[in-house]
Amino acid sequence: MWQSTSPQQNNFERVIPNFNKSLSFDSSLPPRQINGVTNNNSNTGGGGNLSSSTSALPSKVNRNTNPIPAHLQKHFLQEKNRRRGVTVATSPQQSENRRMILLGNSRPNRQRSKSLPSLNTWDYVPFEYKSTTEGQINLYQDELTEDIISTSSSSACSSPSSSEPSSPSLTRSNSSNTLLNDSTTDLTSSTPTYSGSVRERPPVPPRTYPSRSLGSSNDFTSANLTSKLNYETTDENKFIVVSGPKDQLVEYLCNKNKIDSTFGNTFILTFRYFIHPIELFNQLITKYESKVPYTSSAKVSKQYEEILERVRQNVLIVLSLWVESNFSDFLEDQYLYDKLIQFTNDSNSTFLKDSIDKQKISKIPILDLYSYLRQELLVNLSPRNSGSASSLKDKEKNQFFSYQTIIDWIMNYLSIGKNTADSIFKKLLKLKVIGSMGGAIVANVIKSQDSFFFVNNSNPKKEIYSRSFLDYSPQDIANQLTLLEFKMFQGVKMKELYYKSWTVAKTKFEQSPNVMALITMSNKIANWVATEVVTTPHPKKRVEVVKRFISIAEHCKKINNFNTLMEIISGLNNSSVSRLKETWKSLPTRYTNSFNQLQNFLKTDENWKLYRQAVKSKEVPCLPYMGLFLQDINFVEDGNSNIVEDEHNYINFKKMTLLSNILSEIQYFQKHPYYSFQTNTYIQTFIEKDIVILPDKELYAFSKFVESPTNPLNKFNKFIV
Amino acid sequence: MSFPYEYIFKYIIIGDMGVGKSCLLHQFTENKFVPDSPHTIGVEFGTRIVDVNNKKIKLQIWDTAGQERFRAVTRSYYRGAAGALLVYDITRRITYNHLTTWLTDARNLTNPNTVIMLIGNKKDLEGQRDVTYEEASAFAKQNGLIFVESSAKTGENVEEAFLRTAKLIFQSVQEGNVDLIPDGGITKSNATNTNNTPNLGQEKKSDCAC
Repeated sequence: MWQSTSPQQNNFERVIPNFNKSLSFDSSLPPRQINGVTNNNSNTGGGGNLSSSTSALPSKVNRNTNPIPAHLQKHFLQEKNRRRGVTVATSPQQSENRRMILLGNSRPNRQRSKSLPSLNTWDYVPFEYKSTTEGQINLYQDELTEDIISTSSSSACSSPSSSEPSSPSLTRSNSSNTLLNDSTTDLTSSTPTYSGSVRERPPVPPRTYPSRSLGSSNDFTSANLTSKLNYETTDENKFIVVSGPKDQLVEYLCNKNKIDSTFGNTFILTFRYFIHPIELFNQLITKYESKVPYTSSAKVSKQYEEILERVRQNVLIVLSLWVESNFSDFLEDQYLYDKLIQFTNDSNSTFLKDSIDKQKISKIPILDLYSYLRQELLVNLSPRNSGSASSLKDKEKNQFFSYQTIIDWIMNYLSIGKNTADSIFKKLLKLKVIGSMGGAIVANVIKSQDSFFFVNNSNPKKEIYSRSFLDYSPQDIANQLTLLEFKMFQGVKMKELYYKSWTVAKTKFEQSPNVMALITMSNKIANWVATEVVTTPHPKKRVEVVKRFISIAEHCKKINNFNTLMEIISGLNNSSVSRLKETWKSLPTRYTNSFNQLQNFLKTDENWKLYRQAVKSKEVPCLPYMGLFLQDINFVEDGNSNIVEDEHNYINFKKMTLLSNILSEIQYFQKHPYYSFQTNTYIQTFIEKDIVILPDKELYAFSKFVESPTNPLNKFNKFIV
Repeated sequence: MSFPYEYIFKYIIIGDMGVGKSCLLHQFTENKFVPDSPHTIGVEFGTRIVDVNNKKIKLQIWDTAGQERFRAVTRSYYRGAAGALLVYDITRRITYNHLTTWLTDARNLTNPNTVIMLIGNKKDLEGQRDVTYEEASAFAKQNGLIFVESSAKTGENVEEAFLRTAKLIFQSVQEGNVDLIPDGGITKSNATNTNNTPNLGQEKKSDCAC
């Protein structure tokens, strides 16, 4: 943990990248060329001592034991690689320590540039010197460049996560990165100094040298901490944490210049494997509340403050990530919830508040909210006709409401902040249930006095109630099944999936209620499909039933509902159904082909290749097949231990990454509901209450009967044909 | 260049939750399964090439672990399996009692030639044994299954379980009892035409334990 009050706090007197200075020089360079380090001792403290030794470049060189050729060095210094941070060292000994951490024992073999003003950084972004490509240092160039540009040019805080992940192994996490992307947009209001890079930046790789331990005698707490994490380099030269002790993982989470978003998302999705929520929460708060220790130098104090500010930023980001991925942690623990609300108020972070609001409204059916809104505004707020008996329909014809009125109502009704209310409003606009008076809204900018009207969306179609599914259209059934199952899917909480708790016979209904509900539903629907087919005695009608189910399945595929699709295909594959040779023979070719195609889509060959590709496209809304997620989690759990045993029982963060890849995918789909589908209560009641399900034995008995000569309808049928 | 194997046998592993199905698979294939990274998409997991009577045979093992509860759904996996490993946990009688149901499923949903093997897993937990070897052995005999007790933890008898079924399947192939059709779970690779199978590259990848 970061102990702000510790006397060892001198380690904060080190680096803060000074972006303004960087910019003043570098902006004139072609972006590609900005990636190096030049030194500057224009700073305070023992800069002179230090600057020659703390550069990013040689550290890599040392590690590779591959010094840069002299001619290239010169090249770097003169034309490329300008990156500076601020280093403040208080004593020669300290700078020496710092140098040890950064560079190892050997002195860097490059010269200081005297001509350029530059700053050193201990927490630099390292880059790779590649001896193979002569004269080129290409790793992280983009990152560095954009870093500098973005931090200096944007006053607003940009998200630290990637908008265009370049590494295949990281693409998975992209879904969860959107968490971060979504949520950081309004950070500035409460937290002005935060700055991030536009592109995903790799975590600063550990400056670990296996042969040497960075002993605890050394006073660079943070450096020590990070050094205990084990990293790996991906194919794309990104650094990923693979293991480490619990405390260091928490440390790494917040105590960085910029949050490592991949790590952050993984951490939040899996921390229950190694740290209790309350413990984590308290540690985060402690970090947030750290005070600047007393120093004699104003400049040093300022740097402390800047670092602390960054840590606070990161704590807020981490907390909002937590709120967005595991809000149930708070909802189910009153203590934690109270603490969170208190912290949100104390820190006055609109950013965090918005995250909480978003969770509050995430389960609200937006169209139901709309009908209530419409009714309330038309009846109660309408200036004319108040108290008159005229119908809503008459009223809404000439009623306009300002954006402000509608937003106020939503904010008030749901007790949420403006940003969240605005996002609801925009969704309603998108659903076209609210119309803008001035026609199209220019560039999504809405002014508070803009007027809007309610679109008459009442459905003139008369709904019927029937106990036969054949009386409903396949689309309607597919849509309602989708709504029902998606609601269950959305209800699945991450902790239901931890430790494979849905497989533990004794506790699975308590620990994983929503997973179990979804599984029960899936089996029910699959069974229902089989039951409907085998209990239809008339041959032609039975073919009709099969056709209908294939149509429903087709529609499910169309709307990306793979869970229901799986159920229907499985139901039709039930041996009691598949053995009905006459029925399948009488099925029109179009349906046979379609059925085969759907089956092919779901086949398990090559690890569900076709299905996985479809899910990977991330088209939303989509209801993926839950069973495959469960299987994947099962494999990760069984194939990897939670701790790395041969080390110091470090947390196996690689496993956490594997797990969070699956979990964040689930969350991604949970966040994109089928907004535009309207509930049809008749069909939903029918599905929930009326469908008949037979046990396997009876299914088989029916199946034997319906195609046997003992079924009188068969004879009748033959006679007619 | 020739194929690294001549036949592909498809296996399924079935049994109650928590009996150690996927552990058996992990043990046999030494496969730390990375479920869905871009590198593994399309690559079959749970495969291993074994040697039976000097023929290279690729075992392609399907595991429904984690999905057991989707009973009505996962039944579609059974189709076209050449071998089925029916697993129970020797320390939990309930998993043994459920064997009949699993067996009925397997019999109904696979083809008559499917070789079914009974495996009593967790042999290493001898102290907690709840089902005797003799009892299970008698059950296996009654139902015409081959039987072995294994430990996915120590690896004892795991190889043997897979290899014995592979031998039996291969035997029935040689005797001509089984058609070489994909739906029967047995495929013969075409050794003369290397470009025939689009999977070639991937097959080789899955060959190495990763």
